[in-house]
Amino acid sequence: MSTPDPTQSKVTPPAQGANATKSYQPYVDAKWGLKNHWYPALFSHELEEGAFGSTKICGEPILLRRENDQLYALEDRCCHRGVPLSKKPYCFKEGMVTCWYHGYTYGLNDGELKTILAAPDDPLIGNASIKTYPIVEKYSIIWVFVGDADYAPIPPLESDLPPQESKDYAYYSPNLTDDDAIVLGIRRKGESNWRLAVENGFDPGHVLIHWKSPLVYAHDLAVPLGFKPTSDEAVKAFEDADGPKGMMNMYPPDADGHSNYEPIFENTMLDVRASGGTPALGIRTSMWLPGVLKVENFPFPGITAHEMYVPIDDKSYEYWELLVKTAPTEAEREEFTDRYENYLRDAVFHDFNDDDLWARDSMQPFYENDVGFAEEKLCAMDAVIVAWRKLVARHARGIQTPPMELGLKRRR
Amino acid sequence: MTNPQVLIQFADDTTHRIEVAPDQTVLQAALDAGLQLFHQCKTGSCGSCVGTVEDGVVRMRSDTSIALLPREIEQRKVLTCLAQPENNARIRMDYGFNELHRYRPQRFRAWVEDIHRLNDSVVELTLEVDEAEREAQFLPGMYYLLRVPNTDIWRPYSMCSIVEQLPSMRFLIRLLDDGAMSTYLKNECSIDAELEIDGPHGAFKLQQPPQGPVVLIAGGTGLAPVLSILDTLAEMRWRAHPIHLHFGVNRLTELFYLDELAARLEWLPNLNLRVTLVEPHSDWQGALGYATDGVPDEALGPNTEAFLCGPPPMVDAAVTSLEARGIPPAQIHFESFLPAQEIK
Amino acid sequence: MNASISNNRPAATGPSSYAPYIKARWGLKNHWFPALFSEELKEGEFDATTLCGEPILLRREAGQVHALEDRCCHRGVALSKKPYCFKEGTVTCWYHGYTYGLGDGELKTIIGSPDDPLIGNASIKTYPVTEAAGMIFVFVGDADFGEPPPLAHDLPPQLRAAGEPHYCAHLLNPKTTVRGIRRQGAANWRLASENGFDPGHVLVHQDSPWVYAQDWALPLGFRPITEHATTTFVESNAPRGILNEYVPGSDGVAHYEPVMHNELLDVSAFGGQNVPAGLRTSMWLPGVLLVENAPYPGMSMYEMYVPIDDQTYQYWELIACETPSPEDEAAFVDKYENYLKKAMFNDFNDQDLVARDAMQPFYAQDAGWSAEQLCSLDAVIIGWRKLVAGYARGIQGPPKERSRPRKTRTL
Repeated sequence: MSTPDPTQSKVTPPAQGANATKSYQPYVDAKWGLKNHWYPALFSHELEEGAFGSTKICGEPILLRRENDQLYALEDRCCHRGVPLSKKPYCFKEGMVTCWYHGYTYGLNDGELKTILAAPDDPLIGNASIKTYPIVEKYSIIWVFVGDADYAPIPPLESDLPPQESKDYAYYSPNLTDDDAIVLGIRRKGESNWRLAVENGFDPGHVLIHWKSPLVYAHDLAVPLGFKPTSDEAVKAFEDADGPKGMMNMYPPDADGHSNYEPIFENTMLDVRASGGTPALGIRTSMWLPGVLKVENFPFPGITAHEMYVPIDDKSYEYWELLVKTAPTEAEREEFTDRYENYLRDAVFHDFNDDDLWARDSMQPFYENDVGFAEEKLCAMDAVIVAWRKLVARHARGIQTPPMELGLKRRR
Repeated sequence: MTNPQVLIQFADDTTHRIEVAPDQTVLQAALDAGLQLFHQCKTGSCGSCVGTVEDGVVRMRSDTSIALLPREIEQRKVLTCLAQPENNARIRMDYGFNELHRYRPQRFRAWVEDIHRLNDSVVELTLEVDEAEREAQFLPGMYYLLRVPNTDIWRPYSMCSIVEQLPSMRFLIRLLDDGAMSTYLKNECSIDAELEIDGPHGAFKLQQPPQGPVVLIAGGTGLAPVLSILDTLAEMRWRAHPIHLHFGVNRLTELFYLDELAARLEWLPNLNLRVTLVEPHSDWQGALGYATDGVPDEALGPNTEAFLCGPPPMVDAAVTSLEARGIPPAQIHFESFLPAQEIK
Repeated sequence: MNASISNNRPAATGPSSYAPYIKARWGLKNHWFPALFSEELKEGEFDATTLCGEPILLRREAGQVHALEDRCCHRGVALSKKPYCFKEGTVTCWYHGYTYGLGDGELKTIIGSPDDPLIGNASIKTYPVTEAAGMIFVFVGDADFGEPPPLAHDLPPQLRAAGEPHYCAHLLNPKTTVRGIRRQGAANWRLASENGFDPGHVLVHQDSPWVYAQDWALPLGFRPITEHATTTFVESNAPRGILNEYVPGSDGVAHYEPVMHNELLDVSAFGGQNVPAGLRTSMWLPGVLLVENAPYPGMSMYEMYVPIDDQTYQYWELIACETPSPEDEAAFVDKYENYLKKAMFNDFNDQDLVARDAMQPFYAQDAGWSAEQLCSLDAVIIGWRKLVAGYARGIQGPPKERSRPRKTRTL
């Protein structure tokens, strides 16, 4: 039977209103995030040997530990009275973590209750446990698989990250998964639902908020007022069975010079124009499940900016910003690190990206009670966003339900 | 030397006999025998598993402090998770046997959350169930009885919603000219109106994840339980095999939920949809015929599960057709929708 | 994939053996609760508090304390925002001048409408009040309850008589000095009450400066080892409560084992040498902890966990010491002000505040009552829950009836 074309309605405004949301209903339901996916938890350097760390992803509180070069991730909630272990986690013996309240002690690798400090023969021992999470450390980041305890097989981390581009591509830009790439970045909390953060990242019309960024002036970047889709190939979908799933804005012209997007530099009715400047070569944005942005050749050719938008709960997300460069030698790594710490980090993440943070937070009240999805008035530039919503509805490995302590309220 | 036999007696006087081995507790033996006595911690701390010893000698296993008050011990109460009988015994539980079953029918209060017409003859009714005292339950495909307010008339309606949407419950109701519920819905029912409901009921339900292709055939408001089954499979991200949904009505004016079904095509990659009218119409470019027509061969294998719901003639025809095409009868599940006036 | 269609909803665990306790989010009614310290309400002053969700206005006049509903029956505003007393024995609302009798709560006059037919036909609730041990207690319950029981029934009793080993002070006794503080905690009152006498929670006090100063032999936890580890008191016309038998009886049988070492983890308790003699904990309706022989032998510590609303409680901490002479009293007060207040209430009890607040999210929507995983250390907590369920004089309901927004659609 026919499968609908997810990139349909690219050049015409998408359907509006409550009926339109039916075609991506699971996305509207995904307030708490997508389950059965890999998410970044901490930077490698944030978790030293012998230390504990904690985070919350898709409403699930998670305790992390590095012990003897092994990494562990467990539910940050004691099964006794529900308190967070991370408040004051004890490690009395290798391979175990003890809760500060009554001494319930869990195995780091299996989450099983091993002993209770003052009740070592208690029948509950061996009959209670807390959840554990698959955990992996790669590309300078510690990642956790957040999903159903019995989900199997666990897919590879790379299926939840952008794919590498061919080195033959005219505007090749590194991927964070490249062998010889250096990955540097920061993370901070944003006060909006994760979906609003995601949609802002690759939204062709939002570039307007950056038009007066110091970065634009410093390097004479030709940031347009917006990108108008001009062909059926403006948005490309990636839906191969086992590979990463994503949508890509084909901003650069094709090899034969055919253009898919027209960058708009002026609006004559308002007599407003972009600061102009040197057209940036090869900038492309793409968004990948479960919410990983790739901006190729930004801020400069040969550097890739990645962003991740990790749901913390239904109204906040962890905003990860990375810069990736090919740096096979130690000297190149040092040189880029120096440039990053003294210039690029502030210039890109603050002088440019700070505007994205408050833009997303500004949408939150409108979408907070799910009203926004029915009330929003989209335009032709939003075709890629609607296509993304449908892609998520089709390919997310699961829709997260609200955390258990909220009571079993319905999701919709 | 035989093991002690313990007779578990419930508040409704039903009894079940279990045998308790020397290293077992009464609770363990009961669970092993398939008797799902209420319990929680299994370690003597929570008190959920308490019963009263009426006959015989029963000791409790541990000599740690247990969650019973002295007067309860005087009353010969035991925690079955720690209890070990010395000889044959009888233990009485203070709840009825019929309360054990997860899907036993219960009575609830509900309020009308929304009501509107989908066409001249079909109404979509959404209720909010009052779950303050206990939670409602159902398997997809089951139905609840709704009481027509201020009467003793109860009518059965299948949920088209899924259990994850509770406390919201949605029904698709066909309006009859003189039906008791139809009259109420047309003339009196408004948002926030209060109703009584009872359930779940019904043998037509999805109980395990299907092991092969799924064929769903729905006629008219028979779409309701079928949609609940479809959405439950979607909720589980069940993608292993194709789903073939056939939805049929007699004429164009009876159609509804086309947008809902089309939307599901967007995000259920293994869904195949066929909507049919019996009577042609100039505005209809889709298939003509019956919902039972056109099930492709590849949908029919030894592991196919079929769920059929609609008016009796449609259901009969569908069952006959699928049996003839080799689906084992045990894998054909069906429910006929009969207007209440016609139930004798 | 699961072997059957299952969903997030847990199977029922059956009728709970303490269901009324699980319903008691808003507290217990028809009990005495502390409202203020006596010294906080001077002659001629007004003050306000909320007990079990009921807003209460208090006033001291001619030495006597009166308590009324802090809600004008006219438009529902809090009288306490700016209460007037124009005439002895009355309180006047700042908004429109509705004036109520302090004793009976009846509407006596309306400033701008002295002949109004409403006068004499409307009233606000009044509450019985009593003062003892330096505190003002209010009886919060049904308006038609009748004569409230004695305050002593809602406080721990004197468990050991004078002359018995481990006898200690009682806050209602003559020649006894009581000092204390009150502060607010961000948890439901039940979680606060359960923490107080929880034999396993002492772990949170391991690092407390008090333990070091007193060289207390504080264990990792107390493990019940006989069927008589707890004693329940359920006599009519007497305080109802449950006691941890930490001290072996005259027969020398120990009912609890202080666990000092865990073999598997090779971890030991702090290691102090000083076993506080005669120290026992017990919990009494409506939520009063007694710690006998703490902080020192001969003294008693009390804690009250008073519901303010369903997610906040007022935490009272008191120390009672027998002071036969004025010199004894002065010495105790001096030690309390300069040492015990901070050393006990902060250096020791602050940990409890943190622990209770940490439980609140798990129980806030009542999920915790079915999701918790109790162990053998928790038997006394179950005993308390059943005691409350069986013997509380009433379960407080939420302040307002459930109301639903009205929409107007029909077919």
